[in-house]
Amino acid sequence: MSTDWLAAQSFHQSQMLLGAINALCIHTKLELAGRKVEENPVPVVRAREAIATFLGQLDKAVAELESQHGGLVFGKDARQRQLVASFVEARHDPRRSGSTLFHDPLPDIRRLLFSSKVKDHRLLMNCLRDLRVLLEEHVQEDTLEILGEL
Amino acid sequence: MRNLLQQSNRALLHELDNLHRLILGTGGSIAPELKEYLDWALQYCEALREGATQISSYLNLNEDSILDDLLSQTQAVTREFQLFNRQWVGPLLRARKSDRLCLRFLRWLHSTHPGTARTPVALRDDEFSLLPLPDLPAIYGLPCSAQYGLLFLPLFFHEFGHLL
Repeated sequence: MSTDWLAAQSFHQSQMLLGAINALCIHTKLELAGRKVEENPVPVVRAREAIATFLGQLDKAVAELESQHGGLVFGKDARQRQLVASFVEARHDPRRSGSTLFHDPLPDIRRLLFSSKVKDHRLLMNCLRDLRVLLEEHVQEDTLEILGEL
Repeated sequence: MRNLLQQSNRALLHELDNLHRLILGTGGSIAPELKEYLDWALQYCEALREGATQISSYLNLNEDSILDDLLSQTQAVTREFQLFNRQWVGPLLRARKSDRLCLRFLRWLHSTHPGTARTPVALRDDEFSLLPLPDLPAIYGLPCSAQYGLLFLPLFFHEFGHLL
């Protein structure tokens, strides 16, 4: 069996998350801009749940990785480990130090997803933008692995 | 950026229409054992089409604050299309009558486990392989030279194990 499947699984997971982030961002920004939008449509509710689940898993994985002090983390595939490592690296990157996503605890970011305050919505949009950049960098590597240079 | 995104989405919709026609065209000639896979491919193509159409309708709102999100979503749908085009359409276009035995064997194998009973199967010309992806069809690779005999069929048991 080829090892491409790790990249393919990672590709599909990242694509699903990117779709969720984009759906939630578009809906929230249209709301913030005063556009008439449906209240809590199913795709947006699902997107919020998918992002919340991911942030919960990421929080656990980051804690696990940091507790290993750079040692091996078992039980996750190589691409998942790489994504967690990229997140930890971004936390220590001075160019990204101004980002709430990389500065604040992940459970706090997760709570923003369910807040009804406009201030929190704006903060959430910034966090999701930074998370999207991280995921796009990650999915780019998977795409290269599966499809080669496009 | 809005105009560029509109152009990209129009081009993508055009490509999707071509692909949809191509897939639909195989419907009359493929083996009955590939019907589930054909239905899945048509639905997937339609979902991609809906994705691109939705982006176009958001672009028509002329709301600048969502342009970054629409750029990201256009790129995501395009990547999805490229993968679909490259990996998932081939098994339909290459389908042969001689695939029926392998496909029946694989469908029987899948029917033995509740987790795979509803997973569509297909074949591609490749080394013995399988891409085990959750919620997606299972495409089994089979070298061209091994497609006309029974000798190598047991290797599918091994590949099926990866899927489980």
